[in-house]
Amino acid sequence: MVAENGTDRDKNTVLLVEDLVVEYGKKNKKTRAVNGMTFSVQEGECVGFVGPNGAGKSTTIKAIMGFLFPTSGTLKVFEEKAGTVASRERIGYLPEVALYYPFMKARELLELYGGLHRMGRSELRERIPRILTEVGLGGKDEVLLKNFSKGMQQRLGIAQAIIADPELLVFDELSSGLDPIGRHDLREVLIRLKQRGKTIFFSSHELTEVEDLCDRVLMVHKGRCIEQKKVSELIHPLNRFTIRFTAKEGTAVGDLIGALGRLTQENGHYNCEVVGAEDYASTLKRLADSGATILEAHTEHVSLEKYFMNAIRLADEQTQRAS
Amino acid sequence: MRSIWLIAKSVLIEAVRRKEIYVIVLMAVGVILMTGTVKFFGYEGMNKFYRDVSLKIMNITAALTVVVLAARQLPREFEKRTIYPLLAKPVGRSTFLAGKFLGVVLAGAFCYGLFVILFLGGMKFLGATLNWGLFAQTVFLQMLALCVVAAMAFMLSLLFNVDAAITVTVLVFALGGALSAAIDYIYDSMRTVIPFTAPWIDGHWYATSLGDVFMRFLNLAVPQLTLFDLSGKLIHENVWGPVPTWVILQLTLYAGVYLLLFLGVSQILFSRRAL
Repeated sequence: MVAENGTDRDKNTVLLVEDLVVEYGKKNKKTRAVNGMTFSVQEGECVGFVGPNGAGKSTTIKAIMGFLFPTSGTLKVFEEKAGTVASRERIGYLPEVALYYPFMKARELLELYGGLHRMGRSELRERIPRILTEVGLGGKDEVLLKNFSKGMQQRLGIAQAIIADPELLVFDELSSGLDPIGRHDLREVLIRLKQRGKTIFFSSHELTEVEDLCDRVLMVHKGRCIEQKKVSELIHPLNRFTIRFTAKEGTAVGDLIGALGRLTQENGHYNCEVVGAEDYASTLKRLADSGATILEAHTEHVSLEKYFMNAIRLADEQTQRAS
Repeated sequence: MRSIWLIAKSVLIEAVRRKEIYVIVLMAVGVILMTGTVKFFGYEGMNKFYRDVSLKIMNITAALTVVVLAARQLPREFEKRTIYPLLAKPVGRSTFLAGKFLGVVLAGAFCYGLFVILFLGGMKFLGATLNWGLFAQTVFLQMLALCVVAAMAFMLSLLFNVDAAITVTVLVFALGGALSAAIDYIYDSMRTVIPFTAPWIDGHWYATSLGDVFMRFLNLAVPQLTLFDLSGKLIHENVWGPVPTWVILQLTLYAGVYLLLFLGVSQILFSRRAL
């Protein structure tokens, strides 16, 4: 079911955020960190939550976890009001800055967190070494956390988030503090979790990570969701294609290409630049039908980063015009 | 209950693994052992001196341990952000608070228990007898006082900061007796200033004042922790026997009221706090 505001509300909705407003500060000096955020996450989806610093990503995630109290709006996790004990039963959460009790050993910490999820001792004894190995901390069970590096703490953070095998994983700034190897390993962990059918919702500044892992991207700016689309829908229409070809004698090449692309001539052959996969396919078909010889065709991939920068710029321009 | 215990256990692990508590305990042990070497009293004097010093050190050290532990529990969780992964688990804020409180009280009890063993060892070494009934009452009431102190430090740490919480709680604990006396004195001296109401007390009409009301409030707001200290009676146990049971029950009730008040306020403050 699609609600008026565009959120999908059905039995597969794992996370629902509707018209969320979160304000900070005292009565006369309130700052609106989240300003009418609306989106939903469906079961089994991997959704990236991207936006510049101060866009309201962490605030939204904190409200989902019940750390902050929304000023208004609806927040639901598995049909439960977000932030309640019942809603947190099914969530694994990785905080933005992960710090763990330095006086504890990795095993003890996971026993504590697993125990709070009502996991039994024997279950934990079996699961902890496996989880630690999965996040690349195999054999570190008895090491005190004060001896863990930042990257190791982040890996441990992921271990604590998945210790109880939750259905929804919420990661705030997924790969912060990780080196390239750590990021790669983490990506592998996430791919495995995705394959297991887990729903993943994460914020990140690493747009390539979002592009690689996510099914869908939510772009936030100034406390609002300015765009939510599948990664392919966001990027592929903007991909730039170049076709080098020679036309059959007597062909009116300009008329043939028309408005589909930008045409240039060079050393007896033509170069045609087309934006978007659909126009690319149409151009190729027209050229083939006219008997042209395709010498070369290549794609210039538009990154999510470029798209993101453009979307933010447009949103700012719209705001300026409106004001 | 398991969640409360798991959180309490993490506090206990911290208490055991952090070194500052050992420093407090070792210093106290040193002073108690030195007391046993003092030769200039006769046997009776030595016995009383040992009890006096040991019991005072036991009380102060256990309270100090509890205050330091309790006051820094929550602010440190906020500051180090360790609270986020913990409260992301299916744990209510009240459970979290209860676990932290239990952990602090158990750590205090562990510390106090060590002192009790040491104290009894010293008593055996001196060949002194002990009124076990009165001793049990002393230990019980001291534990109640530790609970009240811990709850107070928790509440103050949520209202102010770690330093302020430690300072105020230690002042209330250490200067409890002096504070009671001061309240009494000021209360008497302010009785006739600025008539406020005229209540009927002891069969007489008294003019009361705003100061009067303030003193009454202060007297109630600050727990009189000296009431829980039976060490004076234990030192002179040949004169004082065990305290009547109804007094112990009243004191338990008195402690219960403050526990409910301090923990209740802590819970309200904590549950409304944006993290």
